[in-house]
Amino acid sequence: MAVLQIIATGVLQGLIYALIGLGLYLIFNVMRVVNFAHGYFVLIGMYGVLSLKPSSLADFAVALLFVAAVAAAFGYLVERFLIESTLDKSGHAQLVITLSIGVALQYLFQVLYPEPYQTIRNPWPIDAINTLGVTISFARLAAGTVSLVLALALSWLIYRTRLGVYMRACAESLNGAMFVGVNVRRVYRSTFALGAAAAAVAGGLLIPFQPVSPLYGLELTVKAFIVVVIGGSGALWGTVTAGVLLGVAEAASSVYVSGSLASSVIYGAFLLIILFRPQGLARKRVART
Amino acid sequence: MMKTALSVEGFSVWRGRSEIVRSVDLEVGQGELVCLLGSNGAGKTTLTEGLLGTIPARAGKLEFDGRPIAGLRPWHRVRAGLVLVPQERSLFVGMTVEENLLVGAGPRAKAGPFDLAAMYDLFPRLKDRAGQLAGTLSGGERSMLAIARGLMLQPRTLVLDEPSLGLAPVIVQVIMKTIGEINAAGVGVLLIEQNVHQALALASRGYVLEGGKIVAAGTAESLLASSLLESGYLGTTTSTREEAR
Repeated sequence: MAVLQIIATGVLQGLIYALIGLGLYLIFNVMRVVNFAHGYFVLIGMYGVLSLKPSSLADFAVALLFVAAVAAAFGYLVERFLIESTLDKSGHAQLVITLSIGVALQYLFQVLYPEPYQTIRNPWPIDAINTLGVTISFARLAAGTVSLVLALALSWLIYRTRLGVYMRACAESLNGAMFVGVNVRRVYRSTFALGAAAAAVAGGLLIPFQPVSPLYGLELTVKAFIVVVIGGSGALWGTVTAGVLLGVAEAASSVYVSGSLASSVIYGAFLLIILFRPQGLARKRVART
Repeated sequence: MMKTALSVEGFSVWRGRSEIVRSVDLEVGQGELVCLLGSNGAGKTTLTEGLLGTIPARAGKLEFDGRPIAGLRPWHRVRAGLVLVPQERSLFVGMTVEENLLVGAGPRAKAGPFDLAAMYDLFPRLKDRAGQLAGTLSGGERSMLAIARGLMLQPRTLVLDEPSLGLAPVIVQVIMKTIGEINAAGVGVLLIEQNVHQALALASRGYVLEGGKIVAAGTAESLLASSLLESGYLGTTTSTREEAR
């Protein structure tokens, strides 16, 4: 039953990657900003929930909302005061800015939380479930499920709300959006806040079963990039599918490949996918003209 | 005496470090149809982007409906009623025709005569294509959609940047006729064109832009009669224009 176990664990982990990736996808598509700090936004959620030490499920829910709000506010301020002024200028200042924010957060967490690999006690009422020979920790099952629900909520926001229409308009044609009276700056700030909040909530969901270290931020940034690039820029489902693929690949390689080699195998596999399908899983419906 | 809608004095617009539009004076009355003529590279598109505020500009005076707009962001200028239909159309190609029309029609959008039904009356072709992605439209349909999308914002003055660019002559006729109808409905129009004769046939007044400067201005009749149009400044007439775009 190893295969079933791998698939179950991988899919659940992958749904969390999908939520992280969706945040990056939004920021990248709407603003054309490559956000190297994205994995560190996940750490805000992980360390945030860790510091709040939730002892009950209700506490945990409140902690998740709290880290979402903190990350959204942080993302808003970063966009408003650091990124916004660079957007209409040529050059690649955003790369340096987001990378610097990431590095700054990494050292900040190193100073604030010197003890590595901390985690929290399982806030969910059940520890694990056994069925069909598959054992899944309930925290993981819940994290995957909540991530899926949030991914669907994001998709609803993008395709069904006013803000979503404006975000899609900015993604399709920035000039077009301005010429129909869209307040582009407000859309950008909201997008960045939303992307950061999605990442932080994913981090909060991870912390009960994923010990955190400051170095984990870079790894998550890389994973989010993989998910976004493999997913393609055409539609949200591509990003979600890519997240699940990454999760399953990770689970499989941790079983069949020994130790550190596992990561190399995953990244090698995704390199191959990119070579054969550079446009990603979900392409644009029509070519840009 | 007609009230002034758009009033511009000493208007200069930059692209990067180069000053493309140099100290232009321009006026469009409320409900007036004025055309701005000029060859490729004269600075017409740069001028429109400066008017909307998407690129850096400086002006001695930049007023819209009697109110200075130099400090306003592009979206605030649009909401004040100054609407641009850009030359490159800037459509949302991954959205349907109808979605394109509705992007600007948010809850806080102004109510006005130009709603979805009115747009489909004005451009029946768009009604047939309502559910189709904007990226699949022909050049003429794209131009129509860009104009309709602009009208949905209930403009008081509409700046049309080469709406006939790259279109077949028969489609140009349709577009020009529609522009006349839009103006007849009370919307001021600044029509930027290379189709000199058709533009001047619609307009009451015109300006000629060359090398970023206004080199001639006057009534449509006086411009038609002037030697400028024959001097090669404005290129040749419509027939030689490329049609595939």
